[in-house]
Amino acid sequence: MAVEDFTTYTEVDPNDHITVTASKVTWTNLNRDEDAYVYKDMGVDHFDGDFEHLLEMQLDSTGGSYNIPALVWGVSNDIDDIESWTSGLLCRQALNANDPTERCAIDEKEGGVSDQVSIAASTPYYLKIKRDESAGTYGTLYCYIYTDADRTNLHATLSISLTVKGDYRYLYAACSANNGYTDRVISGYMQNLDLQPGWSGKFLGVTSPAKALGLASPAKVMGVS
Amino acid sequence: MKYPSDCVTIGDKLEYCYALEERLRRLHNQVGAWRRGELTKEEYLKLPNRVKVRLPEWKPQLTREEWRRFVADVFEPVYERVVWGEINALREQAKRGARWRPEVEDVVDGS
Repeated sequence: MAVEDFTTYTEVDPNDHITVTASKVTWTNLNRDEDAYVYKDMGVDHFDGDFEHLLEMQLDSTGGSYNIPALVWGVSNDIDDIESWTSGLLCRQALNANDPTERCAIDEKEGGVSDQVSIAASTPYYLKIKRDESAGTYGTLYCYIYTDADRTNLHATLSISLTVKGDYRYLYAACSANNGYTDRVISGYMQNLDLQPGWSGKFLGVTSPAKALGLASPAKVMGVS
Repeated sequence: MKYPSDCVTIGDKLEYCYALEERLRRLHNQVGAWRRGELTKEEYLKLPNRVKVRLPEWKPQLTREEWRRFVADVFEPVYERVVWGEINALREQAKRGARWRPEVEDVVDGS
């Protein structure tokens, strides 16, 4: 596993709320009245197809009973806080004001589509974020949320049908969501981001596993139909 | 997706698909327990036959490669393409349907 070296990323952090080490990015009292982020320019249209990225994240605490998000992973063509993005895919940890509960969510900015699920605070989660452009008209984004590093215990899965075929340049490891409120803070971290270069999405070159198994209905493989 | 005869509305179908998703998630975690060496032979024998034929014979622990093969070749194609594909299609239908409700149209269009 080759994880990203975040010391090679660009840090924009005017209030010193972000700490970057080689494999970990930590945010402490990141609030909703600042533009703070850690990103890398991967080159124009670098993320132009299928990918599968692995990372770990934890939401430590929030302050204020409002919606408080912090990005833990994202790809975009914008360099800004996520409230200002007009393009991109992202995964965020957040306090949801309605319940209130801690959440993990994924978003596509272009279409404004989102999916989310409850998580526990002060608990590490191991994510697998995957874009499959052959699923649906413009592709599908999945976020598998596991409770163990070997990714054998699946807590939940998030999924959204994408509304555009987006090719993205910038990779984010942290990002605030600036809406002008200073009394809403969030602390947490992400670490061990593995982009899995060379990942093809196909195991041993099998492009249609259900057919390769000689099954007319893929659901029958798992006994669910 | 083949639905039971009492699954009529989009809501019924979504509920059915979410139940399938939960069954698959639990099945994934049972096989995951095997990868961790925490699945007993009795628990292994209770796995669906259609899954067991895609897995090795009983032994105390799955290898990393066997686990990878299960996830990539058996679990994910069904979980993503069949179940999540259907859930996302139904969500789209529900969203389109909601826009035709007058009270939603009022909010969306501001009229």
